[in-house]
Amino acid sequence: MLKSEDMSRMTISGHKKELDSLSNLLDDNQLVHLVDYNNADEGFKIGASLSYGSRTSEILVKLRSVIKLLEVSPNPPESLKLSSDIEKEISDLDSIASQAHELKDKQRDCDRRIDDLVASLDQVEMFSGLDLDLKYLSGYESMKVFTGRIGEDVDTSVLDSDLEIIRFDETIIVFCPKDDVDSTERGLLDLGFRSIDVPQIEGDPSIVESKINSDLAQLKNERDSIDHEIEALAKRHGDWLVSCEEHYTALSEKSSLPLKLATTDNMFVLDGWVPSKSVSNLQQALQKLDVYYEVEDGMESEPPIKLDNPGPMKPFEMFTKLYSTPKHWEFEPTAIIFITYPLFFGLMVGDAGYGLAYVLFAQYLIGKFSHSEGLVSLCKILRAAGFSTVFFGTFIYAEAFGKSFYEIGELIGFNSFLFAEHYGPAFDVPLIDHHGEAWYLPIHKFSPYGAQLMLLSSVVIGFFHVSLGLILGFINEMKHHDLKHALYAKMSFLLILWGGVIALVSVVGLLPNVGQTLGIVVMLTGLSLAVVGEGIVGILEFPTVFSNVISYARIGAIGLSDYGLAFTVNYISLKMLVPMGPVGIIAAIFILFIGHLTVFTLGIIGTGINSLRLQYVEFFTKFVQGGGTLYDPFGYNRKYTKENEVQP
Amino acid sequence: MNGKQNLYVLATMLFVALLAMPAVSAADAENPDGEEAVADDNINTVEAAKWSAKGYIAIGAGLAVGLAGIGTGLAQSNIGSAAVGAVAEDDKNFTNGLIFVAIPETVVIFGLVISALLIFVMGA
Repeated sequence: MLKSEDMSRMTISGHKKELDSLSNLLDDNQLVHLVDYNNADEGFKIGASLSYGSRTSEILVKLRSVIKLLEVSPNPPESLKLSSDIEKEISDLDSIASQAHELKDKQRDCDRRIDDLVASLDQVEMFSGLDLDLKYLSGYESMKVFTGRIGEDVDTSVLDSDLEIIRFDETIIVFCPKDDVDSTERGLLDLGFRSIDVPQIEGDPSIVESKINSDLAQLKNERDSIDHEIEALAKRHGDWLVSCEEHYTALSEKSSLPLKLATTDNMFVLDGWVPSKSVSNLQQALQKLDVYYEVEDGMESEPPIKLDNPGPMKPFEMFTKLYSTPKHWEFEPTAIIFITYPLFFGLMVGDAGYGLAYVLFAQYLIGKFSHSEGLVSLCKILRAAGFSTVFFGTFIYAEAFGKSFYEIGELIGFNSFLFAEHYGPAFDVPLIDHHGEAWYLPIHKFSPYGAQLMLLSSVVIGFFHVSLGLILGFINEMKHHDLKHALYAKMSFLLILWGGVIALVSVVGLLPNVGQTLGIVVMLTGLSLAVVGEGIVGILEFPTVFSNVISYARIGAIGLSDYGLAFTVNYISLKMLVPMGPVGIIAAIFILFIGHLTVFTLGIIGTGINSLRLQYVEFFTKFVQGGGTLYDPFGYNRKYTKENEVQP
Repeated sequence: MNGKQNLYVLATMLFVALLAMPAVSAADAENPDGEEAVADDNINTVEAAKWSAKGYIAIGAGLAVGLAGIGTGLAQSNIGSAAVGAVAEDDKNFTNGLIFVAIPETVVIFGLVISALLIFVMGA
């Protein structure tokens, strides 16, 4: 928590014949993050894959092509397949592959024939009004037949009267002696004639047409049955193919171990990182092999980063990784986002009804997509945000779906505790004019005081959040550089911010007047530190801390606008439509559903992104530099299969 | 005149009409009933001035949020399209893209703060 796990650097060396068992061992343990050998030292070169590597890749290529052909999509695993079974059954792959290819060829052939038929159908349809065998439209020695389209109202009498002309609809057929071809063609083109080829089919057009249509129907049936066969094949072998693919991917990764090592003709050297607390486990395992290993602390170089957070915080690591993997000397911010992300989200939506909906929605998705790690993390984050929303919605705002608990309480005839108009002791907020009234919880968002309080408190939260970021940044700089750097880069802005706030708070009368001078002095001290440290850029960056703090006003603003939307939906449906009678009630239900669904979705998109943005733009930029390498140990994480014997 | 110019003229006219609104509506409020109004002219005038001041404050507040929103939108549209392009090229650009898109958002928050100040501090 707050810090990535300690890593130890480990080198393993030995004879190449140990590589097989070493790769099995490393794959089992999944502890060593390998540092790729870069081929820089004389006498050492990058190794070649293990003996079973090429066979594995061959099978893998075949497997993947079949999976792609059959469009297999992975299902959640039901039972784990044993690797020994897969090795035995893999001989079936060839027959499945040939079946798949055969079916795909048939499908393609079918498609081609369907295309041909559709094309000739288009042609024949042109002549469907013609009471003449199509074979008479071509093949003359002394005559040329023009076939094509022409405007229905075009007068063809201007053409040579010797010509035999058949017209129906837009189709025109002109029988023309060979000698007159040129002049006739010109005449026709002048009239806007567009030539169309005669289909090379014999028979009466209408008969031909119906035959093509029946052929087409038959082919489409055939095509459907091929599709069904492909689907059936995919269904029958899909799960098997997916587990095989996983097994051979794992094997292929294992066989590629030497590609990351430095080797000589007979020896190898492995360089990698191991979490310090697992070193003894690995050492114990390595004793079974005939290899030499050495472990050193090595934190001065750049170890890979293994984020180390307890269970409930784990999903939030996703946000940290999405920003950038922190370096090992930096604060690891996951634990802080775990608190602030749901906090901001809850403050923004602040509605028990929507909160509960988010919790249930997230829970449903977690159950449904349990095999997709990323989605599950995202849903767990949404669930945490939902819980926080329920908390704020119940105790601070006392409202559900834009209706206050008090209004709901009046409907059900219960107006005590949270359902009372006020609860809790009276309180007083400085800076906001109370007009002599005492305040109680819950806060009504659309009362002028409520809106002021929301905006003011979000800016105050912003002030503390940005200060925390700067303090963490200060500690980071201390660790990585020295006190001087930390003072210039972080303390300067912290002083500017605090000085500014002290001055402002004294101006509005919350602190004695001396605070104004004090604040300005503090601010100028900070500014001079920034200028000394960063030069003119320090002056340019001077206002950013304040704009960062003001940016938090969005917490209150989004809270108000979300409530405004829900309020409007309720007003339109309950106040305007319901009194209009039965039709109005149906319309009201419709509006209620669509409206609240919109607010619900906007909550996820708008509020979710804005809460994240506050972390990334205003908070992380103060102390996370990032650019670390994520810890990715050698070995494949099997989901569908289980290894149960040493490789062939 | 082309379409764009028409639009500008229309917008200016609307704006002027908007500015006149508080004064006009305040004048309306001034004379709810002819005879009574004459009786206490001074108080009525002061009342009217108060109302028209409130109206101008409301317009100012609306303009602060609205214009800041337009500015943010203009900036975000360019950054956003560039960011989508960058993400399409490489998924790793997503976070940076998000941050860049988010930067001008602060402008509209400034607008919001100004309008909140206008309404809550000046309008109180």
